[in-house]
Amino acid sequence: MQLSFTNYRKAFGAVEVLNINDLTLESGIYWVKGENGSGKSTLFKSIAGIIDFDGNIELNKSLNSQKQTVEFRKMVNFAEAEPLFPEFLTGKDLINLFSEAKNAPPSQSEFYLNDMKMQTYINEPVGAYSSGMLKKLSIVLAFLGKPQLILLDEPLITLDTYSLKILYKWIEKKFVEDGVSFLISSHQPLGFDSGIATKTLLVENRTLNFA
Amino acid sequence: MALTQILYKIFVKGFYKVHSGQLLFLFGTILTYLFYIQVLSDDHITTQETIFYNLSFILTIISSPILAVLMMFVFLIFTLKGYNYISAQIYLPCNFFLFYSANSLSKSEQLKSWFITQLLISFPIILYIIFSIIVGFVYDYYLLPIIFLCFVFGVSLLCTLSYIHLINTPIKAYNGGLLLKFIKKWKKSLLMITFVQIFDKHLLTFLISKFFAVLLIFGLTELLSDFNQSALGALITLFISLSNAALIFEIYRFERQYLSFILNFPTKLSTTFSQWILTIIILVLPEIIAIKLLFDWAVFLNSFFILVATCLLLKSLLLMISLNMKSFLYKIFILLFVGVVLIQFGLRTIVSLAYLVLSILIFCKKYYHQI
Repeated sequence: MQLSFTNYRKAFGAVEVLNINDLTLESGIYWVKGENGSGKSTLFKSIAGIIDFDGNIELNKSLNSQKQTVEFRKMVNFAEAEPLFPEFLTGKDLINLFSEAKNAPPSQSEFYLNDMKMQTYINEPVGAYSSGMLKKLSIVLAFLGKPQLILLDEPLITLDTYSLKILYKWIEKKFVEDGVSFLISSHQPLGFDSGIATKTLLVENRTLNFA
Repeated sequence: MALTQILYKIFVKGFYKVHSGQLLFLFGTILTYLFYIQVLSDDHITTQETIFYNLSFILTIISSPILAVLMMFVFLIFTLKGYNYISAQIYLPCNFFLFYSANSLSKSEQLKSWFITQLLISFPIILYIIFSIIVGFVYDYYLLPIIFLCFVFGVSLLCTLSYIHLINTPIKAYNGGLLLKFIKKWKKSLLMITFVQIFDKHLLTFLISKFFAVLLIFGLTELLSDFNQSALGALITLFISLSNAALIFEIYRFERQYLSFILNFPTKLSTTFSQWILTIIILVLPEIIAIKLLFDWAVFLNSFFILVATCLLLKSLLLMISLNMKSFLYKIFILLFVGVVLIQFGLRTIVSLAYLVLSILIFCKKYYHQI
């Protein structure tokens, strides 16, 4: 995996939020640091193709997020910091929708749901979920399909200690076995038990750099 | 009072912002256009006659019991719409703070604040009633206007008591309504999710829009029966497609707020646009059936294409302006004006083709570049 930014610029009205002239990220697990409001979520939403921006974001030098829209989105999955889903849908409805859209192998979701112990409430409407349950659901959705890059925006907040351990295990397994890269924003350091190497990126002064 | 100010900012401003399109259509287009329009070559109608006709309209409403009941029904629908909006907004997470702040005040203070809020929501109808009372006092028809006022105050008071009950009752866990229980086990596509949202959250808006649209179709067809049928079909279709603008706006708002993740789905643009077409056809199905009942196949097909193309263009325009209702309203009136002119010149096919091509172009250019 290779993620490159060329003349990337994001502004809200006249206010420039982010500007990345030229940066390439190789495969790896990246901890994305930055103060509140520094633009981490904006960066993640840009990469996921959810918000508009100027410039180019490319995967493997061949897939442009705004030109090869279908192929790019097969490769990039995203979990929001504060996920918001229609309250009348059940967790299972969303799992089915994402599995179909992201072309996930049959029963792939079962593994994740069992591991996170979500089976007891997965058939309930998400309007009845706590913030932690919603967070776990959004993380599971981001693991569905066969992505090359998973963007996790603040995945550590609201998760209980058991679920955190499971999440670290999944990230490690996906990276080691499938070569999936991760961009993980967090205000606290990532805590992999195995001591797997992570790289650090810093969103500061309206740009993204290696720390 | 602090609570009144907070309620005004959250609910009153929010209500007018969300419903400005419908209100403008109802009070601006229907009332102004149908009853107070200045006709061309009006030299045969004197100013005195114009005032006389306008006053006759007001006086008929405030003197005829049947029309008065009809007006009270309209007032009731409007007030219930406000109630429907506030009682749903109360339960949004961003308004949860009211459940541990507003209910600390005395019941009389709560009553005062919520009552003022409800009256401000009903302001357009209260303004109309005050106008009726003035006219009524001048012409000695003051009984019905005063009954109107008491009716609106009474219904507003009932709504107020209900708000106070809601805000003083602990929030129950989300359980969904009957519709949601019925479809719980169904597989939910994006299309279905959109319509479940409409029926679950905007049922009243949906029913009112459809009621007025079907009324407009049958009414105008009856009134203007001597018109060229093709032109009449096209004009009616243009108006009813614009009367669906509020629902199209709500669908877009829902997609931006709750379904933004679909922009990360690897779906072809052609597939997404096909889903849009299907959504619009289902949305305007009652109008499509009404048009088919009244016109022959040739007029029906022409009207059908104008209806779908105009609605698609409205949806595409939202990709450019996002949730900016003011800008959306300007564009609605431009579409209406251009459409009416083209139809008057017999260019009905051009309207549907131009609007369809424009909507496809905007969609392709802006779908992945939304603000």
